[in-house]
Order: sequence, then C-alpha cells, then structure tokens
Amino acid sequence: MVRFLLVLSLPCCAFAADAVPEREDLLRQAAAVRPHASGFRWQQIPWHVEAADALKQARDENRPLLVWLAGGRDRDGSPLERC
Amino acid sequence: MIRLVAPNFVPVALNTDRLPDTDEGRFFRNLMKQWPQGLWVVTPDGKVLAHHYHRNTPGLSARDNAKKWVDGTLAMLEEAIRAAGTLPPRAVRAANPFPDRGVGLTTDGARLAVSVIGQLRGKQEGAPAVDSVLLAKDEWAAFAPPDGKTEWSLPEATGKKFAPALSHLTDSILAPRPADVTRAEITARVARQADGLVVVRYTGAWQSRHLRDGNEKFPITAEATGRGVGVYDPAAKAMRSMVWVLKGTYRNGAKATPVPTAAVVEWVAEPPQE
Repeated sequence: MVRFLLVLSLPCCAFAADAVPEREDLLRQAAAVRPHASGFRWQQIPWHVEAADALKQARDENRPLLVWLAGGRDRDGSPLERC
Repeated sequence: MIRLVAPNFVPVALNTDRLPDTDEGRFFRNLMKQWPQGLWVVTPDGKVLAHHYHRNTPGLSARDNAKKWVDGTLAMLEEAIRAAGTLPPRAVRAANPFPDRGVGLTTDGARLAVSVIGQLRGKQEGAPAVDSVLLAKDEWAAFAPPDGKTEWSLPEATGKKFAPALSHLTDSILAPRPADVTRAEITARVARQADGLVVVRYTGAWQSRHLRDGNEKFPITAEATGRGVGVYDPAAKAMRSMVWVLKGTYRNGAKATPVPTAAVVEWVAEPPQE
C-alpha cells in the first residue's frame, strides 16, 4: 500500500544511474513542499476511470457501485485530479 | 471512508462531460437526472441506494464545512451499506488508475505529475491539488537539448501547459487552463555532461488570469516562477527524468489576499526500483 502511494503520488526516485546532485538537491526542495501523504489516502481506493469497466465488474460481482461524478465545465480530466 | 468503500462497492470516478455515448455512458448519465454532480451508490441494474452532494453552510468556517462534507459522505456510505444488505467482502488490491502519470511515455507524449499546495506561514494549508501536465510528443521533445545547442527557450505554448501547477484549489473552475496563461517563459541550459548523461537546468515564469464563470466581477489571477532539472540520455535520445519546483501566489478575486502556492512537477522514465 505504501509502495502504491509512492508510485502514484511521489514518482521521485529515478534509478541509481541518475543520482545527479542537481536533481537530488531539487528533490530535497520538492520534499519541503510536497503535500502530506495523508492528503492522498483516498487514492488507496481502487477507482475505475472507465464506465464500461466499472459496470462490468459491478455486474460480475453483483455489487453496487460507488459513483463519483464531476464536471459540467466541458473540461478534460478526471475527478481523481481536476475536471 | 476507505474502510467503507473498498470492501463493499465497485468505485468509479467519471467526468460528466466525457461520458461515452454508449449504454454504459447512459447508465451513468441517468444518475445526473437527479443531480449533475456528487456521489451515488447504485446497483448494477440502476437502483440508487444513496446520494450525497455537499453544499457549504453559510457562516460556517472552511474547516467546519469540510468536516460537514466528510460527515455527510460517511453517513451516505453507511446508509448505502444498510440498503445494500449483506454483501460478501471483496478481495481488494490497490490499483493505479493513471499508471502513466509521472512515469514513462504515453502514446501521445508524456504526462507529468503535478501536486500543488496553498501555504500559510510557509506550511501547507488545506488539501492539496493533484493534476497532470499533458504534453504532446513535440512539446515533450522541446525539453531535450536541440542538436548543437546548450541554451534554448521552449515555445510559449509548451510553457502554458504548466497551467495546472498555478492553482492549489481542487475545483477546476478556480484553476487556470493553458488558454488562461498570459505569460509562460521556460528557458533551458545544459549544466554539464557526465557519465553519458546530460543535466539540464530549466527556469520558468508564469502568469495567468481568468474569470470565474466568465464574470468580470470575479477575476482569478496566479503567478509563479520555477526551477527544474532534467536528465537526458543523448545516446538513447530520451529524457530520463525531470523535476520542477514552482513558487507563486494565487488570488481568487480582485480584492482577495494572495495565497502563496508551491507546486512540484515531475516525471521519470521508469518506475522507482523496488
């Protein structure tokens, strides 16, 4: 779960070959202004972002859906970010 | 909330302006006949078990309204669980709905991960905004050193794509879009070359202005400056990583006190090593 959070919200760690001091210095500055991890706990929920996939899974499991609908401003994007 | 949702329901988050014109899209569009936004619990055959749409209570503080929002959502979920009856628990695994956010290339270019916070006395104030900067292939290519150059400027249109990094607010009506950016300057300079890699330093400056709901009485402005570092592999002709830190201010209304903001924009070619 913690690793998932790191991948989704903190893609900060390139592989060892890219241990570049300038980048490491900026990552330290970024760490000071990154949102608290607590702000991303809702991302632990396994959200679907495609209507057909979600409905199929719900029907397969015979289980209700929790549906988050947002928009109305003709913008691209997802409620999981901004839309 | 996670404890209530993940084991009981199939969670889905959809943009109402991008619902497909299919039977599945119409299934979800039908929910909007009740209200255009919000949270629903609905059975696969379309029966609504519960619905919640938060409205701020005038006179309550932002903190109290936020608590009201959470309490209302929890109550709705508990109501839905009761209405659903006995449900077998789900074997749930966390999943990343945007695996290309901040990692690797997309079919169209690259998707940079953005997080933005508002600040009060130098510390995060309020919930963060998460977003993406979507760059087409030619826009992404502009971050790489052009042949024979060690200093260059990126096209303004590419710089404008950083608009999501200018607002800490999660409501998209309050966030500038690229078309709202009035100034976007990104310059790049090769800092050094070592171990087969090229280190690039970027500097950027942005300003934006838009009107809430198109109303001249409610201008929203933002500005920011930023520094970035990119790592480029000239042999592979590919970026390896990029990270930016932006600092700025955001003003929601002509007479509003500017709110300091800070944003991180980042990308890596491959997921972190395990």
